[in-house]
Amino acid sequence: MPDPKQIMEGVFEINGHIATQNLLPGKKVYGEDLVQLNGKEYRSWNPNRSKVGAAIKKGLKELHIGKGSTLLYLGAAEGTTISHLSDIVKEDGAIFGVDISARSMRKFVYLCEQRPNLIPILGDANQPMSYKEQISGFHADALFQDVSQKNQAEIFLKNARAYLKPQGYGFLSVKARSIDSKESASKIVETEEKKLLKEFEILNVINLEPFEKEHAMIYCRRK
Amino acid sequence: MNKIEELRKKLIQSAKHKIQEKYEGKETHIIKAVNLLEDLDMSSNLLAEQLREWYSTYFPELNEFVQDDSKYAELVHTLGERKSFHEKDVNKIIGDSDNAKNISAKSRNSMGSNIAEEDLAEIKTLALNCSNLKKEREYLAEYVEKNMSKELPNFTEIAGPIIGAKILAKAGSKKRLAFMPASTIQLIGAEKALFMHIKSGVKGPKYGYLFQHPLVKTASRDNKGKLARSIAGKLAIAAKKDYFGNKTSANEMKQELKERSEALEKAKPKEKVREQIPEQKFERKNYETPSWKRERPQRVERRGFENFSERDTRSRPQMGERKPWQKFGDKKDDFRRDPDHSTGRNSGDRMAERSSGGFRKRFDDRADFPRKRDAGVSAYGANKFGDKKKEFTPRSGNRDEPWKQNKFKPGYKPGSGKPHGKPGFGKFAKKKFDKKR
Repeated sequence: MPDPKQIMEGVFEINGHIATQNLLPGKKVYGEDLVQLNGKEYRSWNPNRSKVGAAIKKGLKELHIGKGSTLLYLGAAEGTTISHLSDIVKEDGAIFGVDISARSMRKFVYLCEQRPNLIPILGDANQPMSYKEQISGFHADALFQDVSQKNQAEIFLKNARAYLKPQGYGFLSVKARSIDSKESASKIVETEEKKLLKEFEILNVINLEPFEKEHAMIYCRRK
Repeated sequence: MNKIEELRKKLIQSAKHKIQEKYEGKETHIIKAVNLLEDLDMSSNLLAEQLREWYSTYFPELNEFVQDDSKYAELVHTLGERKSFHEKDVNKIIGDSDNAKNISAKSRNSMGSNIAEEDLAEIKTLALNCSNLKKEREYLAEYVEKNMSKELPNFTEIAGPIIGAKILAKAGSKKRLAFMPASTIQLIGAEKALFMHIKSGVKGPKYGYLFQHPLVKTASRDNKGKLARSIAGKLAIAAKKDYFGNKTSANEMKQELKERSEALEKAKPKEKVREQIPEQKFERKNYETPSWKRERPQRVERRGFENFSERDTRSRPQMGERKPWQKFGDKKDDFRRDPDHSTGRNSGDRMAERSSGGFRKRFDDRADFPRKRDAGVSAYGANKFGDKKKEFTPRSGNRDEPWKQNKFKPGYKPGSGKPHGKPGFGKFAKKKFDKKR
């Protein structure tokens, strides 16, 4: 069997499904499929449950992360997406997962104990200074955000100023309905883009339509 | 690398510690219990329904005489067979001698079919489970009552334990409840109606869980909303008292609410005064004279017709764009296509949305051309994705200068495409148009 096609660093395509190489062979995180190929094990990435996975399916060309990079992930929840990112950065990397809910943190802490590159922070992403001491000294290569708050863009900007490297990449998934329940989704996303425009160079905006309803992923680089 | 490993272990410990702290408050248990209470209600009702259905094949008359589910279940479980429905035993359970007499009489002469012992045993265990669920529900309600009056004494005094606990569950914690405005407390439990109201502008809800409050329940229909509002106001005060540790009791507030409800009931509801329409009297027409001999009514010109041109501009879209050779009402007219002038289905916003392909198409396009933006395409313009607005082109001929159209050229024959041979027509075409103007 030939090796699977590599779409970007650490992300593979197997039979039309995207997948990452499993860091802990034999262990599932959220009930996904495990595929054995040439002695390596791959975990398939479900785009219906992960917004980053959905964005890759919809044509995101590059994640700009690889072996050994440091990431900050806001809205870690139960660690579905984060587990795949942890596959990509391997043991040398580090991912800080921030979430406010103790209920979902329960599962995430369990995941963190298994994977050596995951670091949990139970805190409010709206107040990045509240976990400043815990991250002190680290600067993220990329910032991921998936929180359904009304001030999503502001939270993203605050955290980027505090922890994202200059020229670092940002992936903001916008949930239109938690910003305004009335306005059309495209208009909402456009206003969110404008908010980022001062400090970020927007590279692409991806609609996550079949996988997520009225969500968009804004892919940008810090100026 | 070592540093990260150390940090990781430390942060995992601290996260665990924080999770522990989060669930230590008493209110978490109240919230879980109340959530369970709603589920228990639903499932016990379902079981009771199935039990009645099943047992009615054997003793259908019992279904009508015993309305209470828990008593029914107990009867089925303890007595079971029809012949053991003696008046004494039945009376012990339902506590109603007349009814017991009836039931025992009916059991002698039932229209139910016979049943095997094995099947009856199955029904009995179902009845046992059913009555146990009912008991569990009662214990749980007691538990909630006890703890609510301990945790939020003032709040519970006004709202009642179960409704109070439901509101607390929606709020999430004592702290969040204390910081809630009264208007939010009033509408908790009516989220669906509220969002329908915001979205589509139907009438907003007046009460959520507070609809079950005894004061609101007994109020007349017009006063329900008002009472719910004032109760919510008092609840907001009480929640703050409880959270910040003010020990004054809520009796005063309760008294005020009672007075308010009495005052509302006393006040006469506004009577809707209808305008009295005077009875129309019709004069009997004189049919004896034939119609052609009758005097004709004088013809009055209808309003708006006196000044024709004025009326025209008022009722129709502005026609400044219309060229004099264009027929009015022609579908190809420019101003009809112009989105600013039209209303309804093809109005401006919708036309613009359609021409740009809607939300989905726009973003799909952008996914394909990430580089296009780098190359200096303006970020926010109407035509950022390269789809230009279609310019309207008339189907044939030159509309701005119609005298240059083919059919006015000398030698034009309709159908042949060649100018026809009428001399002079082409020459004077322009002059003719000028005259018409």
